[in-house]
Amino acid sequence: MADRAESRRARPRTVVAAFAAVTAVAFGGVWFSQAQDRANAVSDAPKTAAAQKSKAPRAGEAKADAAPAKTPGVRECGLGEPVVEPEIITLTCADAGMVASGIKWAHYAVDGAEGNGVVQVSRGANGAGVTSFPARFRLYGAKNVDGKMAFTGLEVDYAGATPLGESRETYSIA
Amino acid sequence: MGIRGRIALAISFVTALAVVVLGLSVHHISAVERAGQAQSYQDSLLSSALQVYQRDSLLALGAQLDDSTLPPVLMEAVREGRSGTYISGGGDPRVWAATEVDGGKVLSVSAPYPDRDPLQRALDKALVVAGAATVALMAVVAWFVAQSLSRRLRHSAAAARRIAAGEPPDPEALAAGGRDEVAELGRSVHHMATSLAARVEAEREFTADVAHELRTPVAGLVASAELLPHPRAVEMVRERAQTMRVLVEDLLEVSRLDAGRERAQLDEVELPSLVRGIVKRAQGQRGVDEVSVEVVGEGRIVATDARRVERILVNVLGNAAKHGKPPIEVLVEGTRITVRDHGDGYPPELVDQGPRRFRTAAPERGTGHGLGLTIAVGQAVVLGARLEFGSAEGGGAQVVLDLPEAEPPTAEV
Repeated sequence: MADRAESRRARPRTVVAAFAAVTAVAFGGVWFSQAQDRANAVSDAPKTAAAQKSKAPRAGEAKADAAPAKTPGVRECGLGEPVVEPEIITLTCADAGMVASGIKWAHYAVDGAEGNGVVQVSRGANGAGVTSFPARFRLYGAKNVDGKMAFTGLEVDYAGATPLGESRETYSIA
Repeated sequence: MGIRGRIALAISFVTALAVVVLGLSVHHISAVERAGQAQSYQDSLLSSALQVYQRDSLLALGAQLDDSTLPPVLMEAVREGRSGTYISGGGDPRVWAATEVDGGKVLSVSAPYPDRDPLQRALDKALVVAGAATVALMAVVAWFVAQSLSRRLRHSAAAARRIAAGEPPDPEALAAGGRDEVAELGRSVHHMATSLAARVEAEREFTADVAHELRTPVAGLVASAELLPHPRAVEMVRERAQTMRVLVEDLLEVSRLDAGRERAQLDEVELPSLVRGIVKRAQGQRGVDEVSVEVVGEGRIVATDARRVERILVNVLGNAAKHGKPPIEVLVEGTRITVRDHGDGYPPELVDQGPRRFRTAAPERGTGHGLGLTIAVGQAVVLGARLEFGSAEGGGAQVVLDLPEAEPPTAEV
């Protein structure tokens, strides 16, 4: 009798265990399928959407009115009007494959400017490779170019990994 | 498969299952994370490219305008005013990011997104190796754990078998320390064995005491009956007194067998001759009549105690004569003696559990004390023989006495 009672008690446990296993498998399947759906669907691009909302001013428009007339700017690839405190600077103007972006300027004056951001390289994502390099930027050599004050050089100091093997690079931007 | 193998197999199986589930989860999570990182990076590139394009109308960071290879689903999302990222499959899987720029054009960036990422493959390989190692390690550990558990159980089982064989309970073997279920089982078996041993001992002492106490008055009763004047009364009293004397003698024999003091006096005898002699002497006693003896094959020489064999066969024949129906047949084949009758057969309880003293519980087999077959079983144990109760083909009770083979003669040098 005791054995039969034991087996009767064991039956609900078996049912609960089977239910738990089936539920776990079902949740796992749902999770996998949702993940698969997510992978096959268009995902949001929040940074691009933010950039869309805060449209960058055209060259010469940016902070031209707000900044003092003598504050030097950056002429993108030596062309156009100087932009004061630009958030983005193209480093390789031949193919525009390297761009300094997301620059936050800590100091910006006639004698020079310093800020931090990242250098982005367009050589491919591969899903895991590092192609974004944190760096410190320094603008120097302000002079009058075509009647407007503009910096003529940019120095890039990489904080960690470097895209070209050099921890410091200099670019002529005027 | 023993409990040891089952436990080891169960633990290994559960471990393997957990490893597989864990491995699949890690693989899946890393793949999702990789896709998320790739899309986030393309979003970041597109964001920068968009700023450059908006400012200088320059296509930076490999950005393209109205790329004809842009996946339609992403193109559709962009046309709806969304900025999105997408991973395309096919022969050239790529990760895309696209947004709409002034003039209704689509600015997009993309990068290869190979299915077989080296990092992902390295992670998968590490998961397989670690999983296999974990399963193997757990199998070994489970084997040793199960071995320990099984050893303790086998220890308890051996102690229980020794108790069943008549040895006194071994407290050290059964009442082992510990709080787990195995220790609890051992303690329970020990308590049960002690309790049963005490009851058996009490029963044995009771039987011996009763027999001893009855023997003297019964002997006096038999002697006194001789002095009674009326012949019929003498006959009746003598008959009852003889019955009581037989009962007391049987009880004394049961008591001696219980105590385990009986020892067989082995002599080599020819079995068919022994059986024929026993049957001949038994006929006319205890209602035994019409007994046929058949010998199959050549008669065997067995080393046995003839007196105890006779005691067994006489009791079996007496039981068959009293409770069964004639004819009673005795078959001698090798070292095996089979006795059958043509009655209703033994009750199932007797066949399953063997005879028990004072319990016949078989109205179809008449009344009795149940001592005759109990003594037969006890004598068979003393002889080292096997005594089985069953049903004969075509009905009737059947008893098989299987005597041990005689020791082969030592070869002379």
